[in-house]
Amino acid sequence: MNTPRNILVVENDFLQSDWLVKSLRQAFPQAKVWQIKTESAFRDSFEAIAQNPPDAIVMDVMLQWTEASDDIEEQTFPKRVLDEGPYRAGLRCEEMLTADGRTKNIPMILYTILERHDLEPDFPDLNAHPNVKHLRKDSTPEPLIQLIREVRERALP
Amino acid sequence: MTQLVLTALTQHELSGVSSLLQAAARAVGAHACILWQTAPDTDSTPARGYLFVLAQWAGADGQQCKVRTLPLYGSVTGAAVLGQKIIKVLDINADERVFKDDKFLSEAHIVSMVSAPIELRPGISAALNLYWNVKKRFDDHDHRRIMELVRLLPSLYQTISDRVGLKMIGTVNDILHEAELRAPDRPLPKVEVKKVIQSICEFVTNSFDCIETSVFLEDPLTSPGEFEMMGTTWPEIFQKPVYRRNEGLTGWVLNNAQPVNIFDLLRFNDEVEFYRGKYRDITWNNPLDIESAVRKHLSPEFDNNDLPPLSFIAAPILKGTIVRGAIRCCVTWKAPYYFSGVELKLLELIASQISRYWGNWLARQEILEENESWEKLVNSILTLNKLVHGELTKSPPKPEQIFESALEQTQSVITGSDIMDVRLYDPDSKQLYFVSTFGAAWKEGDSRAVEQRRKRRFDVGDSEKESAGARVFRTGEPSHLTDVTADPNYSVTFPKTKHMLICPISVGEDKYGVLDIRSTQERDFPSYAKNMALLLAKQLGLYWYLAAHVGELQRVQKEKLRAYEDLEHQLLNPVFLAHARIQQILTPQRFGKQLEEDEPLKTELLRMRGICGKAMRVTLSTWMFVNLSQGKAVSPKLEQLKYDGLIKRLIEAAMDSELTIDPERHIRFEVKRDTFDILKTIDVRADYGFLEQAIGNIMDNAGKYSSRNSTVRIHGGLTSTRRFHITVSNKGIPIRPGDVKHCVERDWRSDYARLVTSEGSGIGLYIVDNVMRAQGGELIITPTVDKITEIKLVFPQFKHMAETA
Repeated sequence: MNTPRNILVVENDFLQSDWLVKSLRQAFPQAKVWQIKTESAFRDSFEAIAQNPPDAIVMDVMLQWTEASDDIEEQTFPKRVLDEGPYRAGLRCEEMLTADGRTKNIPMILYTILERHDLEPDFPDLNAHPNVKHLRKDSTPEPLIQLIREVRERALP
Repeated sequence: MTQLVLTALTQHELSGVSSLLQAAARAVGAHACILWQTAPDTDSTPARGYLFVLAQWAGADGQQCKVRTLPLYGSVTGAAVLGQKIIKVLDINADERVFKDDKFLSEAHIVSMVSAPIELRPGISAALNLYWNVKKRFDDHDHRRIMELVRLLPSLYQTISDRVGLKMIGTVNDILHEAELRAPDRPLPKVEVKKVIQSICEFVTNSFDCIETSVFLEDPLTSPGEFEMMGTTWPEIFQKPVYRRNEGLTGWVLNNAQPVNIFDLLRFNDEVEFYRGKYRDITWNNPLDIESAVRKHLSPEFDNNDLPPLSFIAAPILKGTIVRGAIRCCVTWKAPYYFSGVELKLLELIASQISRYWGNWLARQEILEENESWEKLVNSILTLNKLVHGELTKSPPKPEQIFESALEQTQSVITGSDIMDVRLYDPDSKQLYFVSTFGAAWKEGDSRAVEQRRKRRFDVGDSEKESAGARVFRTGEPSHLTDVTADPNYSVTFPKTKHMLICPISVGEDKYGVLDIRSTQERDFPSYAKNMALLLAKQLGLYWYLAAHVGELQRVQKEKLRAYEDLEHQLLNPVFLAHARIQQILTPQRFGKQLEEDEPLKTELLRMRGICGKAMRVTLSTWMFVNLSQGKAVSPKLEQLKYDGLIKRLIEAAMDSELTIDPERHIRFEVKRDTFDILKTIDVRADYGFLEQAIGNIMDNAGKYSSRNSTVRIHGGLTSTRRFHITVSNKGIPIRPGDVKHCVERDWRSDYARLVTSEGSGIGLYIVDNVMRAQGGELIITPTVDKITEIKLVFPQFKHMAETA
């Protein structure tokens, strides 16, 4: 059976994620479809993800680090995040997953408005990576749903 | 005899030979003593030979001998010299042999005399004459004494001469060494150098007891071919401060690089054939009337008397075989009364010392000049780079202007350059042609001549007739024509050109043309000029390359911008239409009632309107950005801001912003309508399209950067300077005081902004700033205070409605 039980969507744009999450819930009614909105929240949730790995992660590439707040001056930020900005935040999350033995085999779909060739300078092994797929965002959810099914099948023993 | 030796060993000047004669006279009890010498190097015809006084001692109170010459033939002294035997005259009044000495002897009351032949130096015959004013009885003792004197005197005279020579060389060396130490790492100013040379002249004059010592030196760096008087002891104002080759005796020395020794200037013209045999083509026309000139400066003893030989020596100051100057001495007024070959040799040694000093000074001067030139070159390149920077921002850049400025800079950098140009290669005709020129010579002649000169072209190829410039272009090797007439392929553009530097203008293997630098001056370019010219040419090559490529980039960029413009129009149109249609649906008169009953649909439509509105703003921002990037002004269509129209737009913008923000963040937008009541009484002008753009961008930012559960407030009113404003305030990430000025910069985003959003090009406030300024207003950003940030759109001065009416 290739129905996923647990799908994580990492997406910060509310106008994208509200219909995306809704569509995935309709496509996979038995699955828990949950959302993380920022890169810092992803890092905070990493241990939970590692202990209970999702069947698939739908990862946006351009992600904000955190939500705006008036106490931002009191916070500290990783130097790399400050240097690189939000444009490849999803790839930083991908690095964390791949670097950890507990999460490196979780199928991941880079679901982004960016083209594959836009990502290649920062992710030269994208084509060769067994668990990471690239899918350009579309106005319908079907291609994503189909790809989740495919990666799920491939991941089954 | 002991006294004689001691006397010789204590002399420091050549005139010390007189003291030697005094000691000699006393040794034999004579009352006077004269050392006669045969006139050297003159006509070999015996009948014209004569003797002159080399030195004399006239006794404690005796008078100097007034007769300065004696005939070699017919005088007792001449007979002694010619016969090489001692002649004793016991009574001059009774001896027939002395009739030619008569006048001198009788005036001095001489009774007896002895004339003893003596060889002062090898080949120089002289006679030591001893005189008594009493009748002298000569015995064997006297004879032995005289023979001893004859034997000793040449050695003692040589001793004095050597001592003086050594002292002169040592002292000149000390003077020059001290001068070198005064400024070890830089050349002394020329005025100081003149003081050094002057002190040498004075010292030589004192040592030789002569009237004049002068030194002339050439400074090839500033005045080649001119030998400037650097020091002189001539007692009057020096009439000829600069010598050139072949001018007089000194000019002969400068031209022939040989020393000259004239025994007696007064006899020069009589002996001219003899001198020409010795010094080829030498001439002297006695420009000063040397006899009168010299008499003024000789001591009274010579008044109305015979003059001593007006002796002249001059030695070239040589660097290798190159003549850098001359040193000369003229007329001794003390014994010995002429300059012998020994003095000339001494003068040559001094000339060699001066040459070494002058050579060092010139070398330092050249290094200084070179250093200054390199410094100027660096400044010139900096100036050029600035010019190039400005030129490259023009569309298209014009490298010709860079070339013209470079040529102007070249003149200040490369000493001697006075005609310059840049020739570029035309690949179609395979010719070089003038593109930029500099120097007065380019403008000489009538307009036709100038035009024809400018239109000259030079074939580049392998033919043997290829011009020097074409050859440099083809081979890529720079060329220094030290004498343009010596190059058979030199193609004359300016007949006055004497020297030329030609360097290829290239970058890597790409060749563009040549840089020509000509000099019409005597002096060739300094040795370092070629490297400088090459560097300048390389710079020009780089500039040409940059200008060509920047021009191409500008062209490509322009095409791209046009493509973007087209894309923007294509994008804007459908988004605009979608927005308009959604507006139609939302209009209460049409579907309003149905929509009120279907709240989710209405919300979704409002969200779509917000999304379309944002897409329109982004597209318009891009359009404005493109225009501003091209330097085009954005032109507003100003009309009166009406209360209703503004409120409607503000509320719509607020709704659109609120509905496109994640509802979980609970951010509200609130338009304070009553604060805009002022608009009912004043006439404020603005462009509604620009205003929508500005308001939309600011509200969009406020939505992105606000904290959860906060409210974005929009209010209006008048500023303290009584201008209408629309202000958006929110609570969220702060704007630090240091960030304010950067907020309106293109592509700038604060660190906080980059952390809390995943998008944003950094042009939003740049656009707002520009559209506000285009309307005559301004954007005021206030640093965050108490966590509240305010962005103000301030409009230009308004009029009251009453005034408008």
